Amino acid sequence: MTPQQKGLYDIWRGIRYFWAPGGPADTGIMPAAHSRNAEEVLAFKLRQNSIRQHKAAIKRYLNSP
Amino acid sequence: MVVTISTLLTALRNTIESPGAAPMEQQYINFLTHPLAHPEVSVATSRVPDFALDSIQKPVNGYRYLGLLSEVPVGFVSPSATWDPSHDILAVHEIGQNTDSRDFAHVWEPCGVQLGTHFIIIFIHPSLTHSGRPSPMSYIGNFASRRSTPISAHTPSRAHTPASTTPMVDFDQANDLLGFFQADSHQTNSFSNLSNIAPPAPAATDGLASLAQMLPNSLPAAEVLSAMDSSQNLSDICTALGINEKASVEPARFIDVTAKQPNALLVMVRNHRAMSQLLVRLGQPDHVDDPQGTHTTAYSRGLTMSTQNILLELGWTQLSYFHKSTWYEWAATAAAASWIDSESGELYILLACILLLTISYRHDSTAEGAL
Repeated sequence: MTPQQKGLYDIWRGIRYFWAPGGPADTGIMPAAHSRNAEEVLAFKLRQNSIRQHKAAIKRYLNSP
Repeated sequence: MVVTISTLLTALRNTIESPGAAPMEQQYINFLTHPLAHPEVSVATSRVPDFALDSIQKPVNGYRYLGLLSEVPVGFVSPSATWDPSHDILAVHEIGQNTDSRDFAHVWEPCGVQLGTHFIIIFIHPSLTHSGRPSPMSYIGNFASRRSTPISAHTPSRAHTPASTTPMVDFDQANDLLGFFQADSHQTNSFSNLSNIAPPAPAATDGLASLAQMLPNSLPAAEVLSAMDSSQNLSDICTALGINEKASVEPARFIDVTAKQPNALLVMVRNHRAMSQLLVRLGQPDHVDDPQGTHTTAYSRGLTMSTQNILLELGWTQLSYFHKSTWYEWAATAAAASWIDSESGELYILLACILLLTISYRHDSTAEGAL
């Protein structure tokens, strides 16, 4: 996995945590910045701009559910 | 049957420390008696007693997030005239072949549990949420009986099995609750006589048929809006539909968030979701069916509902609503997808190349043979 792919993968992991059932989008509760869970940290760092800018690139790596 | 989260929590608070009450874990007692000391705890409900971690929050089970525990008003509060998704709770679903509900009913029947008067409250604690472990609690209120008011609690670590079930004998509080529902029924009737706009709220003892009228689909909204003319403003319409200004309209008002603000994305996502949900309650399509916010509905008495106007009234631009609808809906879909392993992807490409070379080689060999 190239560094660029890893960057996209991490954004997607943040998205996955954020929009998972029972995740922040559902509950309105955000994980703490100092969390030890890597996905919680990625969700905390996630920005709308990241979604907007990298949506098309991430899409290439996703299998529809 | 429908009750409000305020009524259920108040009933629980009144009974937990009474003589003969069912034992309850201290953390729940703390949540109930000192909600302001737990600002991080939220409450939700469900209509199917399926507490498996991967299904407790299924929308198909009637799961609904209700809000922060600390913001739930204290006291016996009547259900709203139409349907208030942040306060009103429906009993466990009785109809159909749902095996979870059926098994639950069979197991707890000896304790006096009746699904029609059984409500599920789910306490969500952040530290549990992050590990995917909201903690469900069931409250059983057999409001039609003065004798039996069992209570059962489910712990987060043992979410599949009730931690305790002890019948409580003839509580005064149970009688108070019964009295409340009887009084509420009268209040509801009075209200419906006074208003010719909002549909009457069903009495607490009505069956599921009347509850179906309260579900937040477009039909009840359409019935109410069809009786209104073009002079009505958004505030009038929300009042007629029983939409609470503070709970449902204010969260939908556009929030201008700077990217550097902590939790900026969360604020925007929740803000957009509140807007989309409000549109549905106003009889308009949500952000999935109408991402651009262009839908217009004309009602028979002259009222025209325009998503664009509603958005503008609440400080949104159509473009912003459209962008967020598109990005967030994509994100929700992406969250449910799986990542294609890039190494596997490269392997497929390599295999394809080998196949291509083989075909090419055979083609060349055939061509040479022909010569």
